Amino acid sequence: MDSAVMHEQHTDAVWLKFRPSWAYIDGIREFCGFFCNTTLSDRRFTERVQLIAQELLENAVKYSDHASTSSVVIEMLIERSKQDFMIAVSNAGTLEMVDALRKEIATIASMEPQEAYSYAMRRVARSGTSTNRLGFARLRCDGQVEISATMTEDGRIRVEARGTI
Amino acid sequence: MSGLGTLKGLSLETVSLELANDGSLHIQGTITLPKPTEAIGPYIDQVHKAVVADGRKEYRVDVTRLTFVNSSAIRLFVDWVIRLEDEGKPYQIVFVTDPSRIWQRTAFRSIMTLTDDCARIES
Repeated sequence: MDSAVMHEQHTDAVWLKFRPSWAYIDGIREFCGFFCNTTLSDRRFTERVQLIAQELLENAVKYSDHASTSSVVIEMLIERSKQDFMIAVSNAGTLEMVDALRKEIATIASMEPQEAYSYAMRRVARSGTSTNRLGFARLRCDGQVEISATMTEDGRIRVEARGTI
Repeated sequence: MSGLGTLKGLSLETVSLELANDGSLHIQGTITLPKPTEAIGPYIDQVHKAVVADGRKEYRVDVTRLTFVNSSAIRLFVDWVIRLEDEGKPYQIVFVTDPSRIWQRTAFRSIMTLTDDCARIES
């Protein structure tokens, strides 16, 4: 994380790195909620942040290479002066994985948030698979954020959610 | 013997599913399991079969105290409603929700688009 950002007076930030294990997710989501609630005392915002953190963390842990020594990193910035925030989660991955994420994000972004959520539910209903693919639709609808996926220079997939407080 | 009357609740680490005296299902806590359809799905299957055995035409599921779920848990409710559609609406499910919780308001609104009248929301 940029040190200038870390020292900005009106910016609150979290940066956590952990091995890709499901066991961390509940605790990190709760910590993000505690952090937001302490920063802004806004129950609805806290609820949104926890939901976003949960979905992004689950996605990163599910698709991480568990046999490697790779890690998952979560960053959260709350810029009070601009009334906006960002949550990003990164994990080791391939270009093909990023392309698949971008395709899914574009599909979800092509519709209104609630419509996209309904679309994602219709898609999963009677699909006969255990895969949900509800996450990005939920991020847009409940989290009220715009989502992007990029491949970083060090070969990590970074999924970023940005929105207003 | 009532189908629902023979059923007990289900209690997991962060969530409990309890049957009230009127037979309605009350779910409280949080669901963030990696595979909730495996951990909770079989219990919901039992509840569904019991409701059908009892010949109820309406069944209430109270989620007002279900404070947080992951998207995999939402699949539980999607599958339940789709099952009612596929079985020719043996009963109507009434989701009792708390609209002040963002996830409940939006998730159940979208679930309603999966069915004409197998489910409704009560707030």
